[in-house]
Order: sequence, then structure tokens, then C-alpha cells
Amino acid sequence: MIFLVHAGCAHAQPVNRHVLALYDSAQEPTPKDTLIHTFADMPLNHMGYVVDYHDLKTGLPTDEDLEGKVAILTMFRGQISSPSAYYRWLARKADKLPRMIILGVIGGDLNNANRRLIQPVFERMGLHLTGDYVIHTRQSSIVAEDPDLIGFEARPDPVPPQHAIVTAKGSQARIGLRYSITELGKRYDSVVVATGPGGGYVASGFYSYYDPALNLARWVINPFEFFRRALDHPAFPIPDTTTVSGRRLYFSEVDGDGWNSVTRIERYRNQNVSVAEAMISELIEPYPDLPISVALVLSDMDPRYGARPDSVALAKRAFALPQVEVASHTHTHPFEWQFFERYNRDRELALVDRGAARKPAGVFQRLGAMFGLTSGRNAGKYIASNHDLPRAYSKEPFDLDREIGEALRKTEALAPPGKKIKLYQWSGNAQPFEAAIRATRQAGVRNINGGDTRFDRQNPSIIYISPLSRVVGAERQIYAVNTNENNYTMLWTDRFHGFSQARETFKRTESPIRLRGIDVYYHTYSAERAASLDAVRSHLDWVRTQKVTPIHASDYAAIADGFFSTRMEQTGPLRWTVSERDGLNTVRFDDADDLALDMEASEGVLGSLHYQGSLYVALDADVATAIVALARKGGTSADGERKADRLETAQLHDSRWVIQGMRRSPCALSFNTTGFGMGEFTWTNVPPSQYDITAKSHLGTTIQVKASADDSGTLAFNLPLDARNQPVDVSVACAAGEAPRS
Amino acid sequence: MKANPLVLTIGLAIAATGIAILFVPGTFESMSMLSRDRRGEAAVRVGNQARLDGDRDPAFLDMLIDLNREYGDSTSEAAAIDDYLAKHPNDLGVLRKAVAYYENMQDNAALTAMLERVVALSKSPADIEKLARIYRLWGQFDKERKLLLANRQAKLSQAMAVRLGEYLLEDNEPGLAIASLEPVVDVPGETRSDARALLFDILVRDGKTAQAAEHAARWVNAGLRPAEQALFVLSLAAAGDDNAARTLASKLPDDPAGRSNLAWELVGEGRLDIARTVVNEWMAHADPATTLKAARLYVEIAGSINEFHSVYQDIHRGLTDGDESGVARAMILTRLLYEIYGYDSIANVRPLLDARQFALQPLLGAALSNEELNPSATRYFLLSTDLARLDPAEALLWAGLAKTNFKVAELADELAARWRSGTLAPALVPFFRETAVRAGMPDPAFGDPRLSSQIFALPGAKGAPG
Repeated sequence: MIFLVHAGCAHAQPVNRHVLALYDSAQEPTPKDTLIHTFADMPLNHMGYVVDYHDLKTGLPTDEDLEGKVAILTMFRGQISSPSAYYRWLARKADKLPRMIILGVIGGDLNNANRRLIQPVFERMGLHLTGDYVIHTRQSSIVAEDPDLIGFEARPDPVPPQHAIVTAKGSQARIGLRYSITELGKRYDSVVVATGPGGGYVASGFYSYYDPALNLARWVINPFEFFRRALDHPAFPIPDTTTVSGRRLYFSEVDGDGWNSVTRIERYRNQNVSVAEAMISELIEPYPDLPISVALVLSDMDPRYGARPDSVALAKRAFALPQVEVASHTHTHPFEWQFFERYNRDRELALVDRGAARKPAGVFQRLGAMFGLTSGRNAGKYIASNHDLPRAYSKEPFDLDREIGEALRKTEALAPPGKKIKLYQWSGNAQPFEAAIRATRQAGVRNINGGDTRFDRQNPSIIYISPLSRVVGAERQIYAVNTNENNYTMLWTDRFHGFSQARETFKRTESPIRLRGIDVYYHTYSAERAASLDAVRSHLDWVRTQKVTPIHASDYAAIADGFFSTRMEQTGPLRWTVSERDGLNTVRFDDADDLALDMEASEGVLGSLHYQGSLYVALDADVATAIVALARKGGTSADGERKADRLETAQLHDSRWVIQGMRRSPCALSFNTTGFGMGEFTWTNVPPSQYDITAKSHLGTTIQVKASADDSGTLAFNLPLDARNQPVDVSVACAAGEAPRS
Repeated sequence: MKANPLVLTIGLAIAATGIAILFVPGTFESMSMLSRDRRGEAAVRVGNQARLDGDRDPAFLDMLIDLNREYGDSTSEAAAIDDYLAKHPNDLGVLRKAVAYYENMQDNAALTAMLERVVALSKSPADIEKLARIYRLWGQFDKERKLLLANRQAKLSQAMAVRLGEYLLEDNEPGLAIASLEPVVDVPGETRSDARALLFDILVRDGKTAQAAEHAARWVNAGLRPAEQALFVLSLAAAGDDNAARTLASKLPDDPAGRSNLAWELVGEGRLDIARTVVNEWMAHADPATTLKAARLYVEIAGSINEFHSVYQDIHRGLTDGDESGVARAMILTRLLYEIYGYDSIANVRPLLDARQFALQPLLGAALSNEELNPSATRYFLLSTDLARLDPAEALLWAGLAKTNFKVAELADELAARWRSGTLAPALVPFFRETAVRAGMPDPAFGDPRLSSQIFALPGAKGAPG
């Protein structure tokens, strides 16, 4: 059900989609450490909202901080540092606050005075904070439960957790879960989940179930539905980061760890074949139709650090491939980025000396070995072989420009002339500090990694799908879409076939809701063993059977960046402008079965399709400000409701390649397109007729194809051209002598 | 006799073949050797082929499971597990390997089925808990309940004992619930608050308040939080056992803050009467400074709910019973009432106060006399006050009263005498110096080694701070 924000508005209204998340760094040192980041950020991103974090330790939010925010969200871990000051601020701002969404701890210390201060917040939701607290909840029964909101992944526990008692006041609150509880002879009516005009509230212990021994959590409430109600979520084009050209996006990235190791795969026995060579031969060259970003650890090219005679040649061989994107995986491979934010060389040398005196052990011995190093003292004490070193190679003092800038420059130098480096893939704990992220941005490249998304039986909740990014000061790190093989192989110690289980995450993040694209993310050392190599290959083979749009990893990072930069204005009841999109060119409307794209009223729009109840609209990257207009199905101007009579209003349904620069006329369409593999295109709302398709590759090849649109108005054709690095110009024209039949 | 060459050749060939057979490694040995040579992939290929060819030797299959886990693929690992368990369904070691396998796969039903088999054989608390937690995570509460009920006798962890107790309570089996909780609630330093709360709750509901109180008393000795203690006290009171409630309330937390918190918690629930027990018990075993703290608490909490009746009762009883400690306590309460709420608050007990009682609180006597415009009594009580023990607040009060009731020279002489005899509290020294100077005497700080470190400008003088 689409909610109309402004019916018939004459002036453009900016679409506000920022939520202010309050946290206390005394409990949660950085935004990444917050419950909000773990639980709420991803569902809100999926609904189109940007979460802006504010640390209460730096002071209470100013009016400027509140400007343009649709809601304030809290999910405190415990009593905050100055609860009374916080409550006084809430009381002062009660009339000016946007919606309040409180999940869990309210703020602490709910004495009479503080309760009076915060009461207006609850009253705006149609609730009342009583001041009572129940501990013995064994005599309790559920008296009201909304099945659309409760039991999303886990049922409420038969013995509810202890909590503060909130009751309904008036009839404005929409109750999600309510109990009747008897304790010490007193009966309590306890509302633990509710939304209202002022926002939403979930009592501590009721929004999720967490098992401390298993260290696993699952949502009890449906976070999408809860936020939809608490925000009174209006319809607006949701910047979508999962879909390109109407298809699920796919990309792949490999971190260069292990480049110089010798593979242990049996068929290479006694041939001294490096892991890098095995990877290139088995996982990259045979898949020219699948893009991959190969990120080198620059120090792996250095003979001082174990580079082989063929290390550089292999890097050049990989970078020369048309499907390979050039990327950097740092210079010296930091494991712990925080160590280098306030770098102290003496501290690092002390660790080096201490590490040299010890036997290497466990996981990091393996990882050290994967860097093509031998363990123990023979390797040189500056090369990591145990967990005590904060980076892999520490002979030179750490220098940020060298780590970022020089790594990028010298890696690019290994690529063919004119092939630019586009991406920096974070290493180690993938928690870079602000200056490091800024350095990548200033160098003109995108950045990616971290997040560790995995959604399967072992991580049985969407909680384990990371949000899109991590904010560090004024900078933003883009998370990878999925986690890599480390998380499936006990940090590369066992079950080397484990990465095959990543398929489950790929499937679960597609259905019943498409929450993610596909990112086959691995390390070079996957080619050390047949089991791990086969696991990666199984995914590549599987991707070939899927209807995806393959793109480079840097393009995904540009899409994710675009999520945050996109600005929208509503100019009519079902009409918006969408601009400043960076690399993002798909918007989505949820619960949109009754809506269709109005091509005639739209501009800069390629087409649309319905999928899982949502309407995906593909935008033209060449049009800086697109106009997206919808109409209700059955409306006079909704395309698809009547047969098309001209090619001009044809819609892209989906394609494997990325399309832009669309030109339309009654009997012709033209566009340019790039992509990987066979060019597959499906168009709808095409007048049933024959069409001549001409495709000219910038490499000099021209092909001509004939195709017919059927009575349903669907036109599908393939273009067997190489469009990987050079665009192809395509024109679709009515066949000579054929007028489109309406 | 010369050997026939042909026979010799054939014999040697047979012997060589025999020797070769003896030395050709079997599958198991091949796998071991290849694995040892870091050729796990080759080892697993040999093993998987042998399995397909029908080899079901248990040692071989056991090794094959491990090799496939590390070097092979999940399908082959599963096949080896299935083959092994088909012949040896109760082999706990391999069942655990099967659990580890399914923990890394996506089939939750298979994982729980395997864990159930492990639990049936091992009965180990750790296995039971793991399965129970998985059931609970996936919302299979009925299965969780059945599992815990079936394993009541196992030495469950506290968390599981609490869970079991909750289920037993739901099933109206308090006795069994108590039996499952009692072994786990008195582990020093490890007992969880929910375990204590549940056991206590069950005992009280089952009418066993004395037993509940005994447990709680032990927990108090082990360092129970005042909020919890208060809840237990209130539970006993709500169950009608006020005596047990008071007895438990009188078991005080070690620290003054804890005692204070306990009293406030009780007052917060409307039980000033039991809070009094806390305070009385505190005052009964305290030094004077602590007694004052306790008494102040009592007066404040009474004031917080505007319930002074019990305070007056205590004062009245103390003043009329004739017991010395009672009188002392009554005078402290009177003094605190006056300090916090003013003269009107003690007007009803004023007639009971005479010189004998004021001897215990001469400063109170001075203050009241001053308010009653009785200067000679005021002077008398001021001079009766032991100036050596005054805290800063008391010193301020004494100085203020003395300033308006003595001539400056007289006061200076008195203070000097007290100073010389070493019976002047440090808090009064600045007042002494100021009075001496006002009386035209030299500043005592000069020339007195006891004050040599305090040679500073008198407050109010030019350049003086503050």
C-alpha cells in the first residue's frame, strides 16, 4: 500500500530519509560497535534510510543535528552516562523531536523525576511508562499479538524477560505484543511492542532473542514492518544496491594473500606452481564472461618478502585479462588497522622482536605461510608469522601514503597502459581509520571490504547481513556484500571445502526478499588446495546459470556510495526526481503490485519490472536528474495496461549488460552498453512486430540480429559481442517495411 | 641335484609376488602415507575410490571422514559418515564428527537429529545444554522442555537448571523444580540472579517461606545485591511472613551504601516498617559516625514518603524507656529531624527534652535554646559542647551560635583555652583565628608551630582567597 506524502503538491518536497541514531561511546566506542549498527542499520538501509550516528558523550544533539531527520533511534546497551541530562533534553525538545524509536534500554535510571521527563515521548506513541518493573514473569500470558510483527525469526520466549512496565494510553498505540503478568500478587498489563504516531517502542529483551553460549541472535519482531510502522514509512524511490538493469548484480573480488605460496593441488605436484598461477589458470582465465577484481599486496612483489621470479609476471598476466579489474590489497597488509592510526614505530619494533623470540602458532602461522613465507626465524623477523604483529611486512616504518598511494600507483603500473586501478580492498580486520579511507578517496579510487555478511544455518538471522557501510568520522567504508572463505574454514585451518556453503547465503539473500547482490569474495590462497579451489569454482559455475548482471567490484562500491549521495524530491503524488546518484541507477518501490512505471511521464528511465512484490526501476546513468513517475495499474497513462503502439515507450525489463545513453523515437531505440558474457536483453511494452537490431562494438565488430516482439509486447534478443571494456552501440529499429502493430 | 632353472625362476617369481603383496600398502596405509607427505588430496581420492569399491573397514572410514573434512568435499564426508554409522550406529566419536559436520552444513533437522543421538548415548550435561539451546534458538520450545525434563537428573548448568525449573513450575511441579535448582544456587561466586530468584519464588509460592529465607540469608552472607535482597524481603512480606521478612531485612549488606540502598528499596515499595528494621539493626551495631548515617537515612526515607509517625514513636520510646542507648538514639533522631525539617518538626517532642538529655547533644540544646530566645541556656550548652569532635557542619553551627551569644573577647579566651588544651577541632581553627584578631589579640597562627603550615591571610582580608 503506497502512502501518499503530498497529494497534488505544486512544489518539490525533498524526501527526507535520514535517521539519527544516538549512542554512548562509553558503552559502545564507535558506531560499528553499536547495537544499532548490528541490528537496525541494514533493515533501514533496505528501506532507503541513511543512519547517521551521534555520540551522546560529545553532547546532546543540536537543532542542526535534528534538521531533516525523520526519526531518532536508540538501542542503548545499558544506562547511558548522563541519563538525567538526556531525559531533560527529550523533555525540552518534546514538541520539536521527530519520531522516537526506542528499542531496549530507554536510557537508565528511571526514577520518578526522569520518568516525568520522558513521559511525553511515550505519550506521543500512545503509551505510558509506569515506573513499575517486573522481574518474576513466570505468571504471564500473551493477551495481544500482531502476527505481522511478532515471530519474524524467533518466537517470544515462553518465559518473558524482566522489563519495565509500559501500558497503552488512549487508543493511538498500535500494539504488537502485550502481556498480562502477575508478580507479588499484583497484576500488570504490559505492552512490550508498540508503534504510534510518535514512533515506536520495544521493551528490553523483546526485539530479539540472544543465546550467550551459542553467541547467536534472531529477531523476534519483524524489523521491516516495525520500522515501517514506527516511521509511518512513506513511498519514495528506494535507492537500490542489489539490482542493475533489472537483474541481481554480481561481482567478484580476490584479495592477493598467498600470491607466492606453492599450490598443493595434486595435479600441480612437483611443478613448483604458485597459488597465484593456479588461481589465474583455474578461476579467472576460464571465466572471461565473469568480472573479477584482483587486488595485490604490493609487498608480495618484493623479493625481500618472498616474491618469486614469476610473481610480477603473473600479476601482469592477470591484469591484462579484459575481465579483470585492477585493485590494491594494500602495500604491507595491515592486520590491525587501529594500530596504525597513531603509529609508533618503537612499539611495532618491540612486537617484532618479541615475535621473533617465539614460535609461531596457530592460525596466523598459516596466514603467514600463505604469504609465501616460511615460519619461524628463517623468514626474517619483519615478516608476520604469528599473531603478535599488526601487519604482514614491517621492515619499513608504516607510512600512510606508501600504504595507500604508492600501493595504488605501483599496482597500476603492472596493468596494461591505460588500464586504471579502481579499487582498494581493505586487509586484515578491515577496520581502517578515517585518514586511510580519506586517502583512498583522494586517490580517486573506491574502497571495499569488511562487513562479513553470512546468512545461513550457522548465522540464522538477517542480523548477520551487514549494513551497506561503516562510518568513520567524516568518511565511509563500503562493506563487501558477502564474507570470504575464511569464515567457512575456521580461519583457514580446516574444512577447506567450507566456502561451498556460501551458496546458502547467496540464496537466502535473494529470497523471499532480495537483500543483497552476489559477491564471490575469496583470497588467492583458495587455490592452494583442490577443495577450496573447487568451492570457488562451484560458485562461478553456479553464477553462470543465474540471471545476473555482472559488474566490477568498483562499480558496486560506486552503487553503494550512490545510496548515500542520492537526493530525491517529490514533485507529484507519484512522481519524484532522483539525482546525485553516483554509480547507483536502480530505484525500488516495495509493496507495489498495484503500481506501474509511467514511461510517458518519466525521464531518464530505462524501464522497470515487478519482482517479489516490488517495482524495480532502471535509470539511465547519462541522465543526471531522472524523473520517475508511477501510475496505478488501470490508470489511463500506466504503460502495460494497453498495448504499446510505438517503440518509444518500450521498457527495459532486464539485461545482462549495463545500458545507458538511451535515445527513443517512435520506431527506434538506441543506447550504448557494456557488460560481461553474452548480451541478453529483454524489453516489454514493445509493439508486436519484427525489429532489426544493430550492434557496433568499439572494437570494430558489427553484428545485425533480427528479433520479434510477441503479442504480449516482449522483445528478447542476444548480442554475441565482447562488451567488457569497450561499449557497444545498439540500435533497435522497426524492420524495414514493418510498422509496429498496436 | 642341480635346480631346474625353470622351477627356480617360477619359484622366485612366486616369492617376489608374495613379498610384493606383503609390501604393497593397503588403502589405509596409502592414505596414511599420502597424508603424512602432505598429499591429502591424493589420499582422499584413494580413500573415496576405495569406499566406492566397497571398503567399509571402520578405521578406514574414520580416517576417510577426517580426510574428506579437510581435503575433500562435503558429499564424500557425509557418505563416509553414513557408511560408518550404518554399521556402528552408537559410536560416540563418529556421532560427534557427524554433529560437527552438520554444524557446518545447512540442514538443521539433521543436526538436531544427530545431537539427539549423541545426547541419548552420552547424557553429558554439555551435550544436553547444546541441544537445548539449539531447540530454543529455533523456537522448538516443546522439544527443549521434553529434553530438559527427561534429563532432570543430569548435573545441568545453572542456566539449564533455571530453564528446567521454569518448565517444572509451569507443569505445577514445584518440588521437582526446587530439587533441580537447589544444587546450583549456592555455588560461591557463580550463582546467577535468575537462579536465585526462581528458587526463592518457587519456595515462597509453595509455602516454604522459612526455607526461602534461609537460602536468602546465605546469599546475603555471600554478597547479595541490596535490590535483590529487598525483593526477597518484599516477597516474604507479600506472602504474609513479616517475621521472616524482618529477619532477612536485618541481615545487612556489608557496606553503608548497600544498607542505604536496601532501606530505600523497601521504602520504595511502601514498607517503611521493614526499612526501619534495616536501620535499627544498622544503628545497633555501629560506631557513632555510622549510627548518625543510619539515623539520617531513617529520617530521610521517612520524610520521602511523609511518614514520620514511626520516627516519633522511636523518639518517644527512647526518651521514656530509661535505657541509655535508647535515649542516645532518640536524641540523634531528634537532632536530625531538627536539622532537616526545622523546629516545628520536633515541637511535639520538645517537652520531653531536658538538660539531662541535652547533655548527649549539647549543640542541639544550644540551637533550640537560641531559637527559644534563652541566651543563658544557649551559652551553657555551647560551653558544654565537646569542641574537639565537631565535624565542619557542626563547627559552622557552633560558631554561628557562639558569635551571637558571646562577647568577642570572652569567646576568644574560650577558644584560646580550648586550643591550648588541644580540644579544638580543626574545623574551628579558622574561626578561632578570626575571633582572636577581632578581639585585638595577635593571630594565633604566628609563633604556634601547630599552625605554622597554615600561615595565610584570614578570610576577608585583602588578597585572601574566597
